[in-house]
Amino acid sequence: MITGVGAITPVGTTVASTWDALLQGDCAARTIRTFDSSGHSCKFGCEVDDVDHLSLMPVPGGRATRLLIPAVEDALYASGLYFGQSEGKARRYGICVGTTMGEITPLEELMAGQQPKSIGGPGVIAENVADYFDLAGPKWTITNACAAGNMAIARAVDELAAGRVDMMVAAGVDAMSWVAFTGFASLRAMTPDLCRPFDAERRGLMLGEGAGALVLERESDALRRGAKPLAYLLGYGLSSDAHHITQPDPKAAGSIRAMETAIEMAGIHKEQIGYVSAHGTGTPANDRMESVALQHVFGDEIVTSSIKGHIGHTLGAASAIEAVVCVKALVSGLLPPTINMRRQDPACSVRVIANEPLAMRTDYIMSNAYAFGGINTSIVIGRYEGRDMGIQSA
Amino acid sequence: MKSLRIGGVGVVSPAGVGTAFLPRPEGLTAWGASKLPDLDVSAYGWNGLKRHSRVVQYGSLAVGEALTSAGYETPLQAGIGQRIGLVVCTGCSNLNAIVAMYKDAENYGVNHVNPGLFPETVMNAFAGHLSIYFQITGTSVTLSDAVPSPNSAMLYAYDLIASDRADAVICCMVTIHPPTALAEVMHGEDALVGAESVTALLFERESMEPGAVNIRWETESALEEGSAAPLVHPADAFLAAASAYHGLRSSKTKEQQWRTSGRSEGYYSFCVTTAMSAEEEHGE
Repeated sequence: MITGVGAITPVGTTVASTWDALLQGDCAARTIRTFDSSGHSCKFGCEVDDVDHLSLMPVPGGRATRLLIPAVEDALYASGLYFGQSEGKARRYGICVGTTMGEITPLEELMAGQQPKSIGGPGVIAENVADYFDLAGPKWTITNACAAGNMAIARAVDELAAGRVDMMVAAGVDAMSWVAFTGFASLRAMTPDLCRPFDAERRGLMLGEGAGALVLERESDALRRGAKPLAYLLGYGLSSDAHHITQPDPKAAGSIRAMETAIEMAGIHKEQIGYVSAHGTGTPANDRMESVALQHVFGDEIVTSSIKGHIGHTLGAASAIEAVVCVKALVSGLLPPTINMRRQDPACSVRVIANEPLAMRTDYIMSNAYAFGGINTSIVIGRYEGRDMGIQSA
Repeated sequence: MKSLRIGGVGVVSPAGVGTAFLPRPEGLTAWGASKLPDLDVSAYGWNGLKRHSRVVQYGSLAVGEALTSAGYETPLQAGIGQRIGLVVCTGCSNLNAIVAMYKDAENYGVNHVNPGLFPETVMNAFAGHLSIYFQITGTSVTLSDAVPSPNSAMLYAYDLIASDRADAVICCMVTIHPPTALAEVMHGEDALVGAESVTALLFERESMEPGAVNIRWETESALEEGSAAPLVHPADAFLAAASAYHGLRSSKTKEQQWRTSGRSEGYYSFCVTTAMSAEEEHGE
């Protein structure tokens, strides 16, 4: 079960402020400041302000670590497992970090002829965060690109189900990166104005940055220590397209399989899913493929939206942040809208929540994430009051 | 203690392709920081890979050898590919593409970077190419721990098989040196690996079928004093397994053990053995 959540996003540096901004339809798009984008034909992205001052205490590492630590801190605090209070249980507490670019800033500093201020690479983030919070159990770094957050959540579920840990922090993070920004631009995948998922005139994604973190525990452990449960993490499905390195399979076979596997693992019927938090990048190919998959699994009436119009595509952080948002949606009975929508693409024949939040209480939500390399991932989250079954030790 | 069958092996190492010239686990350190040799993978029957990076070519060769030595026909049929998992351990395989992107931007401007470069800067591109080439459509995960973790990869494989999400899992350990331009900023243990290698092990459920090669592993809190099992660098643990597999299959050894450091978790102890028939077990 999920007992704590934390998020740092371009529209809010707490879960509460992020959630409010999503409901209000805030859009973080602006000219990039993290690096000099004056030479780029596309200059817009969604950045987090003042990353150096997100934590009260000095934080080790580069920009990605500095984004993730306050998100994990919030999640642990919300769960009642504030760091420094592991009471000898640190070896039963683990972390799984999903990221696309890893701690990329030091590498970019070096390539730009500057002196790097910290160590780089993907694995160093989990090392920094585990050291900071005294999480001495398993440490995983999963680099399945834009689906890495969901992959991290799935791995955390496995660790708990196997009884190897008592608590897992499942997180996703990515910092604004010259490599990712220039790279997506080179693929002509970036929108020149705003990100408009599922819109008929969508022109691509907008890059973002941020971090999301969830504290996962077995239900029995969480209730025994008096934690306040937020939601259940009930199932996941993972598959590969084996189709193209950057393009999704237009037939969506792998995506459909991931959704169906997640529903089966959750032990529910597909009709019980009330809302799908879409990957919804705003690229023509992704949104079309995802619509095909959603329609195949659920039919035309499934309600969906994407928050990438608000905060951009935060890559490895995206699905972790979206899982946090799904928890808020389950608890509040409000579903966040897809902003910047002018006219829905008729080829995306699903019910997209456009521009205004939707008041709709549901017991089960699915969240999708897809990635380069043909990765498809889906997770199912359940409302705490809606069900009395969670992850049990194997 | 956990156990899996090693159903197939594929290796590209400083000694070339295959397991025949691999030293025993205790001899791997003698390779120092040797580089991978230049190879034409089509000479080994793996065609259509010329447009890919060297590391993807070598990975395809290693995984292809692991699949075929386990009796799989490649590319995999749809029903089979869905039941195969892929776990890749890599921390540096994207760095040459990052350096190349900067050079391209310097030469042609930031708006004229070769679009073929960016996907390769993403760590799981390596696994993506493998899944396309071999039609592996099951779970694909890329692990990029600060210290290469054979135990993590094998544990992931074990969980996939134990939970019936896969019939077999290919674990591929990619150990390559970071480009000079970026070596100094990489995590120390990432950058200071020994010899380069790309090793693929195909794992299946543990088998007691006579002749089956099984690997068992467990965590040890401390190194056993006087133990004859050599300590192997974590990045070389798959090479050690491949070497042990060869030793057992060629009847040179009956059992091979080695250990790797698990840092704060202590040590991992590995043991590769061959399942014996009842007669062999009773010494008949």
